[in-house]
Amino acid sequence: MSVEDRGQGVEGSRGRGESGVPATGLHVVDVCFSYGQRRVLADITLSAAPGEFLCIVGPNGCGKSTLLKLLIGHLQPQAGTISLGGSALASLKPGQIAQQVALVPQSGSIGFAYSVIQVVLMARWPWRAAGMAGGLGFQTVQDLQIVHEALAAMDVTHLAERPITELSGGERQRVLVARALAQQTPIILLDEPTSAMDIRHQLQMLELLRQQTRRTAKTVICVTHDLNLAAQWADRVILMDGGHIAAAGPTTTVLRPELLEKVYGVRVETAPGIRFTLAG
Amino acid sequence: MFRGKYHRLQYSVCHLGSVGILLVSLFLLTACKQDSSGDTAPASGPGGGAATTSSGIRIISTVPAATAQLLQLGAADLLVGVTKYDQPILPPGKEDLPVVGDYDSLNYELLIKLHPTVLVMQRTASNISGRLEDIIARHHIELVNIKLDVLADLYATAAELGRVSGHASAAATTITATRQTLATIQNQWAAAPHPRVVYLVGTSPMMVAGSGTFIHEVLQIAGAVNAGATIGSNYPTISNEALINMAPDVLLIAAPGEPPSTGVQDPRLARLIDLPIAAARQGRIYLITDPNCQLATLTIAEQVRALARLIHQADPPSAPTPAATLPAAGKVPP
Amino acid sequence: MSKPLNLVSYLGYWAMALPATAVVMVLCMMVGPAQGGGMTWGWPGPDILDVRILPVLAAAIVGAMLAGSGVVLQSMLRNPLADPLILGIASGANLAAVVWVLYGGLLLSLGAAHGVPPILLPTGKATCAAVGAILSILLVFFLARRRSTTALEPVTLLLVGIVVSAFNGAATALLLAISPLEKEHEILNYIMGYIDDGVTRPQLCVALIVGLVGWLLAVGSSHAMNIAALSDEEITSLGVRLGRLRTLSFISASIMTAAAICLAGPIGFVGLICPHVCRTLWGPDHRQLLVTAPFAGAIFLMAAYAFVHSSLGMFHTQIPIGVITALCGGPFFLILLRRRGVWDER
Repeated sequence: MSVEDRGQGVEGSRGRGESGVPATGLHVVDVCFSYGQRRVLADITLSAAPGEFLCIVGPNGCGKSTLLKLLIGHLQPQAGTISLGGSALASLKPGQIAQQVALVPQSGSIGFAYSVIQVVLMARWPWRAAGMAGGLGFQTVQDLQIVHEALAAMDVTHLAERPITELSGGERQRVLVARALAQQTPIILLDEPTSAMDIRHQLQMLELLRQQTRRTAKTVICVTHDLNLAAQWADRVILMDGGHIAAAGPTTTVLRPELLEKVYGVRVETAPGIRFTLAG
Repeated sequence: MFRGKYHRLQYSVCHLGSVGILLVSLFLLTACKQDSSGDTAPASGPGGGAATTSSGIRIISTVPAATAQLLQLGAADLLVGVTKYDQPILPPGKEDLPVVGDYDSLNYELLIKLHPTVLVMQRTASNISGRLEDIIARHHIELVNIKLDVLADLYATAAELGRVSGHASAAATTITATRQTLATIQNQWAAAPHPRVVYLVGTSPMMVAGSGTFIHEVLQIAGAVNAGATIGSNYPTISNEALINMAPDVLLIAAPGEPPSTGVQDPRLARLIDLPIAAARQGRIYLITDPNCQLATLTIAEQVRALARLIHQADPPSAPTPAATLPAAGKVPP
Repeated sequence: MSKPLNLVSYLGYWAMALPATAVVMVLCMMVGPAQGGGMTWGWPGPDILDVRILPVLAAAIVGAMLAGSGVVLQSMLRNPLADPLILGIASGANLAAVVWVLYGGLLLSLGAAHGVPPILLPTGKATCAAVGAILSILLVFFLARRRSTTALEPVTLLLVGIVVSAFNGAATALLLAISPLEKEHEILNYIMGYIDDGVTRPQLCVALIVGLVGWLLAVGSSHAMNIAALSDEEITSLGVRLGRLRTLSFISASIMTAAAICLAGPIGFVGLICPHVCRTLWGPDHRQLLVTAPFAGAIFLMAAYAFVHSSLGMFHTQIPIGVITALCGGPFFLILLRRRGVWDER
């Protein structure tokens, strides 16, 4: 049985538009998706309001990554609707979607040796390209400014002219997050963003994302394996299991030992353990 | 039919087994059929026919020029195997001769079945495989390995072919006559001006007859200078510019078996007619359409005579001596 | 290189490439075979000028088209080892050329007999080859399509291309086996790739225009091609229509390759090496690559042609240009790879 998530977000729900679709935020209603015959997602309903830090957790194969692909419009659901900022995803052009949602993929190895700044500049494409071609699309001064800010925020300015193929896994992930920031979208999706980062950079990134949600009312949706990360940073957590939502709500409601045991099949304990925070 | 835990497996084995038996029986049937049709007696072998000569000579020729020469010597009856390139020159009644191979490949099985006594080839010694040497030794086949680069080779080959086909005297006569005729032609044109000639054996890409070829010698006998000899030997590939550098007065293009040229407007000459060479300016570009023009055969004397007339666009300064007529190869009756 | 490309540096690449190519073209025009063997050096007289300039221009166009299409294909297939001749294009052209050599006369007379207007009949081996290339491309395209969101997946395309190539190659070999002796040389020489000395002005113009169309298509999506190096989801998340980009790339690469094959047989290595060299020297930005790689290809092939053309005295025959591109391209590429191996690491 799938649970519906009627999360209200930190700042409460906004008004609804004429058609009944909420004017802001991300809303997924009764989405089903199958790869051929294999049903991957069934009746997924969730919402994320502006300024919310949402974590999606769940065991391997529960459909987390597929959900992300649906949210950026890479895959089309067989049933249900997804709406972004008041419009249905299916009615938006890819360029328009890219102005609303940014994706930080899992590892993204690139075959060609673009420099870091060139990679981050790719995020400015949706704001520049006129239609498909986009032609030569040289960047503007403003583009460069935004990119430099993003690089600084993720502490990769010193890597700006290094080829991305030379970076370590963690550095590369920071570059990808910087790219998502430079895309300046109200919604950021992250797929396992901290898997290769060291503790300092993990904390820095999560702190930065939280600031973005508080100050600029961005919505951050983070798919992660790290339950502690979810526990510490998320405003709300969605627990998925086998293509359904098993639980959704505030951290304390969802991350309960008995629920986690049922979903993951492993005994969990919560304990007042060691917590790492940024000093100063 | 099958029951029990392994019934699927049993069905599969059954199916596979029946298919396998079917295939094996088909194979055996066809193999048997072949064996009964192939036999040990030459008389009913394919292609040999009952017309095996009383001399018992059976010749397989893998060289088109040799085939042509054998036909010219009147040894058509002795041929039991040819190459795929010989079709145009085979006389009526002989078009069904089996194809045994060509200059670089041979069907050994067919070779053995035809029970040849003579095998004519044109290969370097290293190119004759051990297998072939084996077969030749075991079946008592005489190997005639010929060269046809220059005219001397032509005479030697004709003599060899005459010997193995039992037409040695005819061959000797023809060789002598050919030599005489060629010498006469050379004398006739010796005093005339020798134009520079380029003989192209291919146009796309352009391949020219260089030194060390019988075409080179033929051109010299016909009273011309082979400009292609300056490039190299055999048949080098050249560019337009190299052709211009050779500054030919006459340009000859081999087009065996094609319809004759319609003059300078002929589309086949389109690329060459605009080149800044004397031959183009004076319209002296000719197509040579004799089917045998690229084979060194025993009709070469007549070919050279015609070539000389073409090059000089005139009759020779003195009256020609009559040459010995030869039985013509191919479908044209003598 | 590592800085983002802007208009000034883009124009700078043009400013570097154009004069360099012009200089090389002039140099290539000044060499030729000498009468007694050896080479001549010097600006040719009016007669020879005409004979030299057309093949040199043809070499430039062919090199540029092959290199340009190599850039596009390497981007689309996300594989630096992609070559314009692997997707069944070259083998299709070969097959069509062989069919023309063997049956061209027959086709022409058949067509004339049935009242087909002459304009529709292939007027020569080159046109036939281009038609064969295009038919082969269409075959690969339709076989590789799927009903998924991304119409052309790189791996599927490569596999289908290999299969179609194998089939074309087999058909060509079959025709070669039944061909008469005089035609064999022509066929073999075509397959090894050679710049046709007899190329005419109209042929050059057609090839240039067709090639430019393909090139412009590629330039139009050149910025998107940078993004195409990422994974499928990332490309979509950045707002690029993946299916359309791949289709456009494919069409553009096919048009450019067909233009090249129209003028010369399939010449290998140019489309593989030139994009690599330019990527190693000036970075992987496709906007820059679509400027530098075609000129690099033009320079490479013009130089190869000049060598082949003037070395008649050395080899006593004109060697096929494909031999030179392979012999020279290979070692040069290896050297570059050793020195700057980091650039194309995966």
